[in-house]
Amino acid sequence: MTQAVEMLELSPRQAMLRRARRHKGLLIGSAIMLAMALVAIAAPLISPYDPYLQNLTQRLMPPAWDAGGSLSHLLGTDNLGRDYLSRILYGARVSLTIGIGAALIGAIIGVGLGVTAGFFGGRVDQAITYLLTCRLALPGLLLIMSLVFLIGPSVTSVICVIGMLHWTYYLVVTRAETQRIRQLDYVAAARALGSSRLQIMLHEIVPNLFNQIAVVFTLEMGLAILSEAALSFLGVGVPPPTPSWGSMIAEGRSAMFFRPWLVVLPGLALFMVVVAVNLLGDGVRDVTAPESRN
Amino acid sequence: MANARPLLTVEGLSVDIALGHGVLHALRDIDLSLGTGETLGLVGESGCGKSMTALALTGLLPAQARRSASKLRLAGENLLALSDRELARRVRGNRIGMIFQEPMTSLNPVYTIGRQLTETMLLHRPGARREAGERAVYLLEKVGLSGARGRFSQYPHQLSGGQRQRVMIAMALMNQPDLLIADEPTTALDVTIQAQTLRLLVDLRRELGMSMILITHDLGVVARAVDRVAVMYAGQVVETGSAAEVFSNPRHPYTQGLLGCIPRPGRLKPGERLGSIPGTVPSLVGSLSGCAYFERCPRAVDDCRRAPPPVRSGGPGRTWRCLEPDRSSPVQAPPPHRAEIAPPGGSAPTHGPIMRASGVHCRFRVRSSLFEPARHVKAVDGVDIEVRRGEILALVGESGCGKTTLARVLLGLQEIAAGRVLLGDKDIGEVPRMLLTRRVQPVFQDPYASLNPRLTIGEIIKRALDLHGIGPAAERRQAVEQVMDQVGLPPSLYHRFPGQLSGGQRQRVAIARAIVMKPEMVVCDEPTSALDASVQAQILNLLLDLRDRLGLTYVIITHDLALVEHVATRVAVMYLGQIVELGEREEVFSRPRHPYARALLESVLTPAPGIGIPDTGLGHDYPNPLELPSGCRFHPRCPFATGDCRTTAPELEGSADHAVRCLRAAELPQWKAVQ
Repeated sequence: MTQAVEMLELSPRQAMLRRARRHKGLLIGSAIMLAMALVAIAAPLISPYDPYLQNLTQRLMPPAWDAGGSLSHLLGTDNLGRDYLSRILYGARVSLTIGIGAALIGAIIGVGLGVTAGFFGGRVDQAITYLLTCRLALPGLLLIMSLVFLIGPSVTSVICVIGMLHWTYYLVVTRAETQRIRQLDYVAAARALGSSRLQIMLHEIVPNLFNQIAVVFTLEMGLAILSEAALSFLGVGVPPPTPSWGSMIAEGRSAMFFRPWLVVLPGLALFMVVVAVNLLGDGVRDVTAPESRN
Repeated sequence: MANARPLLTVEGLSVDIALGHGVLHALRDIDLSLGTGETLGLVGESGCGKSMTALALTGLLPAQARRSASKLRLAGENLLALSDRELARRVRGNRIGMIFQEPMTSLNPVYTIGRQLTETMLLHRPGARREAGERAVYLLEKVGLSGARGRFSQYPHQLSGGQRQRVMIAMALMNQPDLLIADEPTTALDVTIQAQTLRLLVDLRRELGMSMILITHDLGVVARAVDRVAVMYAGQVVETGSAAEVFSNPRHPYTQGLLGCIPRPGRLKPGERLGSIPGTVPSLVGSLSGCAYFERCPRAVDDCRRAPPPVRSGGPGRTWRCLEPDRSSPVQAPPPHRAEIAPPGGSAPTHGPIMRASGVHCRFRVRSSLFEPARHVKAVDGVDIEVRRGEILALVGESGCGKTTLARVLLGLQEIAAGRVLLGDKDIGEVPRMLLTRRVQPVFQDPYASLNPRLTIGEIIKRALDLHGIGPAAERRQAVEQVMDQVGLPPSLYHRFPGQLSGGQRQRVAIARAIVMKPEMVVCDEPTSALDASVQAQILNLLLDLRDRLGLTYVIITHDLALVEHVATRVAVMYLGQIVELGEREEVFSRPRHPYARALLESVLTPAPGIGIPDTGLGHDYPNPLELPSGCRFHPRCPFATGDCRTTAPELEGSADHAVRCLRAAELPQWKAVQ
């Protein structure tokens, strides 16, 4: 059957695009993510009101389709009379920044440690595995909460703290894969050409980890967004009045039984992002898997 | 042996697999017949449909595949009329036994040998537990496993590869099948074990009166073990006939080409270029408008393209699928007649050594559990060898003998525990790494693992120039294209990825990467063993051509002695980390003195029908390198061993031309070549 594939003479890039176009999950996921990213970037242009503008005369208005709602505030207002739609649009900025930023920091730490452990093995591997065990033994959310509380809540500190603690998956995945690749002849060939260890890691091994890293990246991005929401919900996340979906849910909690949309709407946004990120991750894995490259 | 009573009749067997962009015709219109007690060899290169035929016969095809046939009968029973459940219940494992290639994965590791053997019978005859046990013991003895009853409670991991394949054979015979299908039964085994296992299969077949279909890519195996041969190409049977007829008078150009591709002692002078088949197997997608072999056939005429050639017959059971336009013209361009393997300078290959290893030891730590002390495998144990400028030194031996480790030592990839390796007159440890890598380069066995799948061919070859800063950056691409041309790769492949290339092309890339820095010495670790016969010949010819042009020195590691006899100038035979025989090629091949070297030479299966399979006289399997035998390491397997051999370890003794490590080398009977 390899013959048939060779006959088509597609370059890997073309073949990958072909698979990508046929992959529904990837298409839906990337469409939602793209829309979210656009919304986040263009929030000041498209939001009808200033998200910080309070109007106490129009507190807790229901959405337009509900009884008592009005078209002037499509998704209603919160307990300080701020336009809910504008706050959700601006909230996308916080969520996506934190998701991408934290997942990136985690990737740098996790991939660095994972490749080092897998490549050198022996004592280095034991030390890094010990580090991993220590990290896994710590209760994540509790640690994040106390750290953010100590440093002082801000978007930057939330990104850094979440990122510093979300590297375990990267490490486990890249360590195992590096151990496999290290044995392959092309690594021996690179050594026989005179490549240094660092050159081998960067040139021969890391490019072959791309699929695994991409999948874990999307997974961690979803987790980081949820962590931020949890932190904000607990009151140690992004400080008010900056709109964040987590803090919006937290603020809406007191009125949840009478004004359910205060919780449902940002919750829905959160849900959509996490689902889209996961669809994207699965799609990237299916499309770039090296076994389907041959 | 004649076709008196046909056991299996196949007519018009086709298998189609629907793909996204068309229908793949895995098999087209196969006709086969097999008499009772007959052995049929299915031979061809990978992807020609050999295994697919076996799967189609037993109804084990992949789910997307569709089978059609006008006739498929096993001893009078119509297999086409049987449902899958009936096939599983009555035919597979019962009337047709199967043996697969990989003995390491075809036994279930969590069940005992005994359970797996008896289960085969109990599946078809529930309740016959005692009978099954007795038959299993009987068969284990038959396949030559000592202490059969004791083996019953052993698990697969306690057996060696050769022993597992024997268990697989016993398992296939549990229900007294009429037909045994063996799919590459010996390919994964070492040469000596291969000959033993094949001999066992053929003897058992004769004794039990079965029929057998032997599927293999190895023409030597086919020639020695079967009565009749069917040569397959691109899903078709292109030639059938008795083994003697097909090998002595092949009618189809593909068969002729294949036979020209393998080094056969006596047919070619050492170093002479082998024949080769240009091009690649055509796509199996879509319908054929002409002969499938048209593109690669040197005798093709216009008629061959217009319609698929008819099947011609030359007597009972002798057919070929060719128009035979011009039988007199040669099948391939005559190879350039350069029989001498001399250095480009023309003088004898003794310019002094490039590399010299003395007393080299390599150890690997093995720790089976936390509470047991670590043990050492002595992979290389006191090896003295020199690589002389301009020579082709072959390291031969079974897997685990330390030949690859020794090669890695020469490449500077393996730390040594003791001893010295000199490059020129400097210790290899003191030579700057960049200097060593410019002078010594490797070519690895598996072209699928030796190229980084994420880099393009151009990047892979150029990498060496970039790392060493050879030439101005702007001209490196030109240099790479020049090397690609030298190894026969079109420049259009520069931006391709390894996944888009065939195995032969990938091996050419690996060779290009090795020679782009113009090294003095290339270490080739089984450079052709992962490739098909026709491609093997191309790569071998390429290596010889490059050596003539660039004045290279080769160290070739291989288990293929026919290849060694064809290309090497000096041979080192290794056994359990030691060199047991070392000498000039003619010396070692005409007067082998170590019993192990003799056994290796006897195990070579050249395509010579009628000779049968040699008995190498090696009693046991390859020993566990963790528990080295006392005295001479070869004594447990040696047919000539005496009490002295058990206690005294021999040294490598003899002249520079021919040295041997054996206490009884002088007393052994005269060597007589089989061929």
